[in-house]
Amino acid sequence: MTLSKEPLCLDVLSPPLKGEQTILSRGEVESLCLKAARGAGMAWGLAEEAGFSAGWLWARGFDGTQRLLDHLLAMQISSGYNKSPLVMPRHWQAPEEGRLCPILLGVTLCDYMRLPEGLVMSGPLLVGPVNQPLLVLPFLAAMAAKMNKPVCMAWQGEFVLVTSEGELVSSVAYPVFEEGLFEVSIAESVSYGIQPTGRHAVRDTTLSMLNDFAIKTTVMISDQSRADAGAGIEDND
Amino acid sequence: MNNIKAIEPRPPKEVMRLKRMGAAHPTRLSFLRVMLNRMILENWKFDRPIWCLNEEGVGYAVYRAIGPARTYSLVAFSHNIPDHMRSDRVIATAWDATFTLFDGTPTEADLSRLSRNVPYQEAGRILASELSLSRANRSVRLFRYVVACLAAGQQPDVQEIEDVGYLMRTTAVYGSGKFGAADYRDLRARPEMAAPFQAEMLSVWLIRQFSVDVVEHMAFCQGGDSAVKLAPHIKHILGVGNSTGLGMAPFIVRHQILLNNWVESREQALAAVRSLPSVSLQKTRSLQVAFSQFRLNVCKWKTKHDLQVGKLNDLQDDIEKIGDRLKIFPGTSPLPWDELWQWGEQTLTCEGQEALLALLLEPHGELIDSLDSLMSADEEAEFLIDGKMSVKELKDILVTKYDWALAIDFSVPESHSRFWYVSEEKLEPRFGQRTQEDEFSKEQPLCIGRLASSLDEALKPWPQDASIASFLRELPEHRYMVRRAQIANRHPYSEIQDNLIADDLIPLDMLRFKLAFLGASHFDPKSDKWLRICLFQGAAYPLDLTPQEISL
Repeated sequence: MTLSKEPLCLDVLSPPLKGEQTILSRGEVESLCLKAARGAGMAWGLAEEAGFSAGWLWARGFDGTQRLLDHLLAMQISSGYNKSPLVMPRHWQAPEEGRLCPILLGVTLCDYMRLPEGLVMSGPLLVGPVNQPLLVLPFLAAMAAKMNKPVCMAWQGEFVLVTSEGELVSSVAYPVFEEGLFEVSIAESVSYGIQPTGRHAVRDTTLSMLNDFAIKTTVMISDQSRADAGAGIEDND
Repeated sequence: MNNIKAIEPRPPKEVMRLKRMGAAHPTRLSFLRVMLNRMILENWKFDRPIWCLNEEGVGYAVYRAIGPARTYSLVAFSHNIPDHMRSDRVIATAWDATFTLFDGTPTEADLSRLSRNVPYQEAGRILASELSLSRANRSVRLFRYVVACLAAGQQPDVQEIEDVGYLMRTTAVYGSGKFGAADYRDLRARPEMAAPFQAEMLSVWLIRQFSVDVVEHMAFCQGGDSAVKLAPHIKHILGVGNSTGLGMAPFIVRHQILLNNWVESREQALAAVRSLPSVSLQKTRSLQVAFSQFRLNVCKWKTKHDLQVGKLNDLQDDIEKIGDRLKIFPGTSPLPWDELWQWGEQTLTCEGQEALLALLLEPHGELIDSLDSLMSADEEAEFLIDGKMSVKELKDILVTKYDWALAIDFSVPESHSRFWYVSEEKLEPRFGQRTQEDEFSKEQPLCIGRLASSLDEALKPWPQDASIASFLRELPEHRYMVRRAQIANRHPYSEIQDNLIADDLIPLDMLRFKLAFLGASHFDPKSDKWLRICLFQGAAYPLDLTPQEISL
């Protein structure tokens, strides 16, 4: 296993962002992404899981918010993303032509973890093709934590491995997650990984577009809804 | 003695009903008390290194809380807004004072950055070096009156003070990640931040100091040499007010494990006290003192709203009964505390019982204070759904933990006539009547009872031994409720066992419950959706703090 030789800083796993940016808290990233995913059409539970995925990636310096936004935009064009993967021994595929939703794939991998078709009994698993595969990584991390063993995703000679502590080992400095098939496997324990920490920025254009989705979960103002807020009497006293 | 049955905590079906949750009283396990206890036990020091306000009370100040390992600073910006701009609503854009709690001692550069952001509240940004963001407005009734009295060399009338209870009231205190603040997960390893809402409580306590300081400052600016400071007995009565609206209600539904841990800790505390086989004279006295203070407190509790007037009457009647009963405490029972408790269950209303609970806990700090370490939650650790669980096991969970939900007929209009949503205008939670135009997709997922009911329905055609993984693969729209049900299975007090979209739901009950855990006293509802409360009445002031002062 080769450890990236880049120094331990925020951009060790992703190149620095360009353009106007805002530094968010992790709570803000998760909350915004949850609402955006819901506004884009995901059910509440899946939207929570999308928020978790984006937040986990953000905390490690990946541009999870942009990847999620790209996926939410893709969802508006194709309805195929609301289908769960076909779960078969050793190979999980999209039920129709096209790619899998990375969130649905991620949660299904977690759900099936200890079942016959899942990672523990049936791995390594070939999965895909999946849209925005980076968004699957946090779910592999969740499984690694549960199993207390590292989980690896590998494609075309590249790989990223996540330990049970949520640390990362990658084959290259800036792994580029190819859309297509990849393999998920349980790996041997490693003695080290890296976990970039700190607060990360989100591009303002990304924020703005995520907010456009998030606002769809709200209700337009009206006199009635102002009355629903609470203060029926003067509150300046 | 060996035959005495172990006393169990009260069961969820009794305790997790809004009727009882809405009668909650603050206990010594409240987050405000936890914060104050630590300040005293660890001998924290307090100072005010900066005070820069002009004659109109405009400017800024810095207060510091200096602990054994770390220092926290309240940075306060004081403004002068015209009366018509003052509002407690989330839609306000200007306030009498704005605050942030800074991690450490702020430099000039920090203060400069904060002055460009904090006064704008939600329209500004703060960083991970800030732990809370808040704002407060003056009490129009009291503030000017007190300034005028002090300026003229007189103390304000005690009755006027008691009628309001505060000089300033916070209209929001944001923490944990909001608007850029530090995330709780990054703070929870610090002992002083581990319990819930510690940063928020510290902020409000320092704001109380500020509210007195600014009033005295204005009095001196107005009255010069003839002005006086507030007398200690008047300062003592003053707390920090707060206007609490619906924003707090979704919190206790969303944070299932946290809710469970708060209630479970409190119930364990009660069971532990009830199990005590003896009573010392010191404990009896302590109980009497707690009762006297509580009775005094309730006498001053003023409210005009129908909802509260009835409860207050119940409470006042119950207080008299408790007073009489305490005259024969401890008596000769082998379990005197339990005997008192059981008397309360048989004799008092909900309000009285929950008040009695608080009284029973009060003398037993050494027994129960350590339970505060169990009141926070690692929600991340339980986020994963257990896909291996069988359909049968999940059905069993619904039948045993959600029986209250399955008993509700949601097809009947009164069972689903209300609607939780978030307004586009200010992104605040609202609670209204469901209309035909209300899109189901915009409904906030707070109607847990109905979701449980739908899940139960969806599970019916599935084979018993099918995995939940296969069920969710087919019907991913149930992930939210499945996760909740699995959490509820491990955490008995994690669900409010009432229909949150019923016609007769009173959101106030949810607000009061959370406020009691924060440590609020004096619940004063203004409608069924918002209320005024007071924090820190009767407590010491940070700049006055001496080791002997005990908080209330």
